[in-house]
Amino acid sequence: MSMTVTSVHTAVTGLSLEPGTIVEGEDERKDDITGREYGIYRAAKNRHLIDECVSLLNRGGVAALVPTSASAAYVETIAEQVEQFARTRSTSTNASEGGVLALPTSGSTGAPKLVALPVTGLAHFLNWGSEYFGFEDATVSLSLSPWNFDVSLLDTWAVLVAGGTVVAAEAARLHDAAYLTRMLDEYRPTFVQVVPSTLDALLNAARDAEYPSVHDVVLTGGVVAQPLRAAATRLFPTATFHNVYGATEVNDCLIETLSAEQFAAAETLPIGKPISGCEVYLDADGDLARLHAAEEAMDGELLVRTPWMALGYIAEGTIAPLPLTGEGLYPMKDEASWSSGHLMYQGRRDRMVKVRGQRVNLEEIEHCARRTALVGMACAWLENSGSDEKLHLAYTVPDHGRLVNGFQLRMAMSAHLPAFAMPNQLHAFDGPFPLNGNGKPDLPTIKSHVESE
Amino acid sequence: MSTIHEVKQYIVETFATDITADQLPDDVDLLTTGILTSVTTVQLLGWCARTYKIPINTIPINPDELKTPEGITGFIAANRTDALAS
Repeated sequence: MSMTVTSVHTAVTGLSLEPGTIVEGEDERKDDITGREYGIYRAAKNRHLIDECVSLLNRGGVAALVPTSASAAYVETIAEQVEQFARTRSTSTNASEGGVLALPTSGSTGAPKLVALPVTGLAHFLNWGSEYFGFEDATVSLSLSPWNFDVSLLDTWAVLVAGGTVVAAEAARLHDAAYLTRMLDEYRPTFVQVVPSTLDALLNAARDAEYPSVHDVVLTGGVVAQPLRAAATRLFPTATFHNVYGATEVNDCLIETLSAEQFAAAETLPIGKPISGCEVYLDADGDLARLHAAEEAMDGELLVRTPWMALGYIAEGTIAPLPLTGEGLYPMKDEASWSSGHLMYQGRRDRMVKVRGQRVNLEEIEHCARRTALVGMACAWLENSGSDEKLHLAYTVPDHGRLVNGFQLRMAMSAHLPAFAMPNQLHAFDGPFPLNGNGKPDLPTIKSHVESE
Repeated sequence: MSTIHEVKQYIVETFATDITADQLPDDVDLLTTGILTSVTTVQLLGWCARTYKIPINTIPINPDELKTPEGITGFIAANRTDALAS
């Protein structure tokens, strides 16, 4: 099936998908959007929908992808925004600038926003991904994330651009070991992209199996502890590993490519070097330095400009611009340190909290818990209760391990954290964390689970 | 129940519900393990005063003594004025 779609707006660089295939996805949608200016997609990945989405984008329309788990109220809100935006565009000249793919952010750092990605930038990104990973018609990508999650642009869209095959796993069945092992055994993927929760699911499902068919493993969306990374190299013994950093607004911008030995052994992974065409800066209290030109070690906030940056956020019928700096850079709200040619992630700026007068980064607490190898996943938060502040830490059972008691974990963590940063209340989960629509731990649900204990 | 067990029982019921009194060693540092904070140490001190009739407003208090279950138990033994005071 060829999906080279001729755009009615000839000035636009269109998306061209070769006759790739999506297996496992199901199409249960009945309506037809042919001729419409916009589409709201709440569905599992499948080839028909992606083709339809591409057709819409190439006509200069707006396609919004929303989580399958989204509530009716959420979808209605998105639909209103997109419809209003699409109608505004159709009455102006904006549509001639090309289609817009709208992806909601995870909401893990605030209220979800609808990010508007231009087709021209999207096409540029897909070409980069396809070339960097050498996607071809023999590529088989195991896609573990829903298509509303920006990681699908690489493991699904870029693979289809090269004519490869996408094995679309159902997000709701990621903790079904038999289902996941069938995916690996039956389709023998060559490319796998994981976020921490999906890597956890794969390791739990596969146990001691090996999948040498996998050439490339991409880790994105978070930090994974060294023992889990070592387990991943045993699962995929012939793979090259890539640590990729980005955000929905700028897409991927940094990549660190490592051998299995490097990936397994490093205590923490560098977040990478700029992808071709991307500019990355560190802002150290107003002192802006472009990375990989900077010679001196420095710490600061990451600022990024990419060739595939979003136009902004869809809101109230128009595009609200990204909160760029005066230099046109997007502030990632992440702290990083640059030293000896390596860029290391330090944590989210907006996850910095003050506990009894001391600054604590909640991500450092989570990272410390994972480093002990006594937990699988960890999620920290601060509770302000009148006169006191309490740090909470929820954790899951480690891969191939058993649930440790809170005292063992406290002792292990206290070797690495100062007393003021130690969690005061620990909460063990004997199953996986509930995840949000983008496959990240769903903090509000975790907290309400803890409160109902 | 011994005083040290009473102390441990109060600590795990009030500040660290994820562990049991039996899991808490006598000499564990309650501050570095996050079980106590500066605020909850004051709360613990109030419990000691009420339970063992310790005149906390009139005696010198060394916070270092209150870092471990055995330190807290020693503080109670040295300052209690209830019926069991020696």
